[in-house]
Amino acid sequence: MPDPFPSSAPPIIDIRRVTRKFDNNMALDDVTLSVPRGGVFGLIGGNGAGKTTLIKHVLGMLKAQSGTVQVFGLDPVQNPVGTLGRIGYLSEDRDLPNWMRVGELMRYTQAFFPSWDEAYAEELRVAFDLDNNAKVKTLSRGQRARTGLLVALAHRPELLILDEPSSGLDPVVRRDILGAIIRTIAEEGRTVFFSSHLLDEVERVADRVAIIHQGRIMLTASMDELKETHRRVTLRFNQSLDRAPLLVGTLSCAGEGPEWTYVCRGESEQLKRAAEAIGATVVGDASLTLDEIFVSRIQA
Amino acid sequence: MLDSRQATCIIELVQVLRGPGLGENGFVQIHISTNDGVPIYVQIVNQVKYLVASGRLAAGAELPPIRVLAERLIINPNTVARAYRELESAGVVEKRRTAGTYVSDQGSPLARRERVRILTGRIDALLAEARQMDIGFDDVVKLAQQRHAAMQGPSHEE
Amino acid sequence: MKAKVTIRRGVVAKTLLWEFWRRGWLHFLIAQVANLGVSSIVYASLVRSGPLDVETGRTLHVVLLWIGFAASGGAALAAHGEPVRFFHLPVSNAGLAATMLFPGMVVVAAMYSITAGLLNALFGVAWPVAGPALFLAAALGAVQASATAAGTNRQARLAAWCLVGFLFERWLCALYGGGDLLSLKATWVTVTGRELFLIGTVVGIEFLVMMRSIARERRGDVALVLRIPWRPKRRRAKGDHLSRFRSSATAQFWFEWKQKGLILPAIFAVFAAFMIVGYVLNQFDNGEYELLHACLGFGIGLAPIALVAGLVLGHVDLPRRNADCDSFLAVRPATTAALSGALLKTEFASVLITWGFWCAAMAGSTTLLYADQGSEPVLDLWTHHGEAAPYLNVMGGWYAALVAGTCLVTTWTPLALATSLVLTGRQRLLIAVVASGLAVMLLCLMFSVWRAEGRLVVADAIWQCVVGIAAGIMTVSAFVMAARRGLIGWPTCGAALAGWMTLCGLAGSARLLVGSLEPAPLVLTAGLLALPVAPLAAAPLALAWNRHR
Repeated sequence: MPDPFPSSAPPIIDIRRVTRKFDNNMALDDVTLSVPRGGVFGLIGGNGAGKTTLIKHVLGMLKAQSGTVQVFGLDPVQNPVGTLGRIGYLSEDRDLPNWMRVGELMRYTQAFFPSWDEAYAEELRVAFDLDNNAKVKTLSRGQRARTGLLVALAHRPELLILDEPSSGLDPVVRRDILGAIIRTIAEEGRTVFFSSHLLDEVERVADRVAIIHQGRIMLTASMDELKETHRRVTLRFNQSLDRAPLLVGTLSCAGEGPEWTYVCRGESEQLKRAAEAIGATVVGDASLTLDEIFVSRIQA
Repeated sequence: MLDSRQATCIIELVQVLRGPGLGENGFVQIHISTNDGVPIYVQIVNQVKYLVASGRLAAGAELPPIRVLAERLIINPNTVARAYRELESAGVVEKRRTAGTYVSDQGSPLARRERVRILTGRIDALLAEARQMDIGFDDVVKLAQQRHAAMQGPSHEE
Repeated sequence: MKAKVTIRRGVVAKTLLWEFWRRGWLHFLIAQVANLGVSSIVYASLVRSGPLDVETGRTLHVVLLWIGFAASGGAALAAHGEPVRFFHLPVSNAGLAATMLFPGMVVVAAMYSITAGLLNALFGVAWPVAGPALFLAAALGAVQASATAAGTNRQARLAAWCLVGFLFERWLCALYGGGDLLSLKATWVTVTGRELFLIGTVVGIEFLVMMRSIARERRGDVALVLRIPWRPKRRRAKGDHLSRFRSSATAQFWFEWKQKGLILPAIFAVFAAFMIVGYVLNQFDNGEYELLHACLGFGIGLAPIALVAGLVLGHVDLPRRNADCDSFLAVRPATTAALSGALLKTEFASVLITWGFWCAAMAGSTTLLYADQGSEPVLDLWTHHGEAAPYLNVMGGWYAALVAGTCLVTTWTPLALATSLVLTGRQRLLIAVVASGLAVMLLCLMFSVWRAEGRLVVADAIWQCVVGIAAGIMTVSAFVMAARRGLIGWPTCGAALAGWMTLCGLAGSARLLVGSLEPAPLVLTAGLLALPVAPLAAAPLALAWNRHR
């Protein structure tokens, strides 16, 4: 596979300094985000952090009150056909018309997307075990998610946007969804942008990650970079301490007695030198799961 | 107390116990876990190295294509690609143009060095553990000789 | 030691009552205002043409009573909701039945009393207050109880309501001295002891039925399942591929048509069914006359019906009663104009079909009346008792075309304009516009009454010009705004202009034939005729405001 981020290609989603207020609630605060073409981009944040609001801006459902949003280099509000026609979208609440049958939904969606692949759609329908004549109203939650995913994937979109794709779903459906994400980017040039608060899944599939908290982007980095720069270092001091000293570059610390564990970001070497300077020995140095990185950054 | 290298060895040991190996049809079985924070590509690299070193992946055997392995493990293909690159630079596998990725010949000095490195790690862990349990080095050596004799034992009798 | 759980007496009832009020206070307000508004408008417009005779007054009273009941009863039912949300609470079946019945009954009675009292004060129509209030309360109780007894099956509910409606309608006619709806014999002024006792018994029966139904629902038993196969089940063979849509516009039209297309025709079908059944069962004094009369009445009534239908059809997601342009429709890769265009096309097709049926009904009933009684009653009805005679005399056969065309335009315009209003998806705006619309209508009627009485002297020409120019300006600015935002293009503007000019030409030539060519009425007509084409710009504007918030 070629190097995923050739910097010469323009980003597929380019959000610059977007702010959004709902009445008095600041949902997005000066958000700048750039999603490169190709690869999987994970937007992670807690509930109410602003993930869905941001996605709605990308789809043109919300107009930017300040700043600009560009998708495929176009404004999604001004040009719905040019942007939405190349996007496959699965909404958080799997918004599908209850009265339609699965077959009718596929036929209806096909009319809007010239790149719809009928054979692929049928293959997906069989793989997801969906009955053509079943009304959407009668489908279970997992089946609804699969149906929504089917109509999002069948036209082989350049950009697949998933809003909390795994929330409320059993492990089997989650595997389907993640598998679909992988298959999508395995094909050249396609991009996946998804928001999730299930961080073990983001860790598996994302190339780049952005953390959003209370409407602000806390950091944007590639997955490798994130994992390499966040480490858990355990120091052993010469004597028992009630409170461990604060060291440069640490996000949190916990422990008791002579042993204290620091979560640090950036260079762990610097921390180790500082530790030795104050007479502590480094007894542990481990990597963190994305979950732990997220929690320690939010709490810092 | 264990240092980072020893900790990594223990983790590799645990992964070995979890059981990578050859599944049905001779497919390579690798398991990924996001529980301990170890980067996924490192897990793949370690498991493949172990499989090769223990002989469960023979020289010349083909590793699954990047895309297939990514879909099976439900991970990003770039991660698999990175793991394969690391394995290639460590000499464990070699990439044949358009034909895929194959386990390299075990006789190469790089491969052997890899195996020795794994074993060194095991020995370090063993020694550290012994120190912790307050068992002297001579006792460890004696124990090793005993176990070796026991393993040879039944074949002697046959 | 088991802890005893005690709930203070009356707390549960108070809480449930509070919940009922909170859920419904806005509905009650709207229903009351609508009630008062509609009744006032009707009376104000009738008073202009002189005092009413007793019989017409009585009929009007009963009709308005039922319409008012529809509004207040609907509000009460919405406030009550389904009892299923209370089943997990520690309430007895009797208590639950009481809280699901009596508050609504009180509200309905109160709303009728307020309406009657105000109308009596304002217009002196001498409506009886106590009797109908109690009757309507009992009627609402019957609706509630029958709905719960029928269970959640829609067909069963509909059947139960039809039965209850028929029975109560007969009872009301009996209370009003006998006869049928259009010719009642007496006004129910005093409530006798026997009537009171009967009402009380009916309420008691309703309570028992409600209690038993709630007990059954709580147990989880299913009521009688009524499945009338009114639509043949289509059998799809395996491997039967549905044909593809030709374009996204066709697909979107199908989407809208399936949900909304048959609503207007269904209303006409129900009306026609009533009339035909009534005619066949000889319910009318003068069957053929009444048929044509009712048909004409329906044609006039199509305008307000279309207005209300437009408020319903404008919902982006009708099954969920949601006017917000939520994810599904908002992410269709289609321009806003295409999406609103599909809805307008559906509505136009719907109007055409309904209008077509109406024309056929008019033709049929005219022929019937002509064959039965000759041309005199036919012409009398067609010219609305001689008012439009000059038009008929001059235009001859074309007069029928004029009537039909006017019906079409006056049905399409309120439908499409109301749809555009609801397409904005802003509930507060909608309520504000509806409320101010009613207020404006009342004001206009007051003005016309004062003018007729000589209290206000304003030349006809002035208000006609004002209204015409205002309508024209609003339409033109809507088109300009839509074009500036890139929602519509030159073809649409051109089509709208062509449509407007055609309509003006037709109306103008009709006026020309009759002979009056004063400028002010022409301005008024030209301005008002801009309104039928206004939705071509207003609907995309509204949907764009909804889709991109």
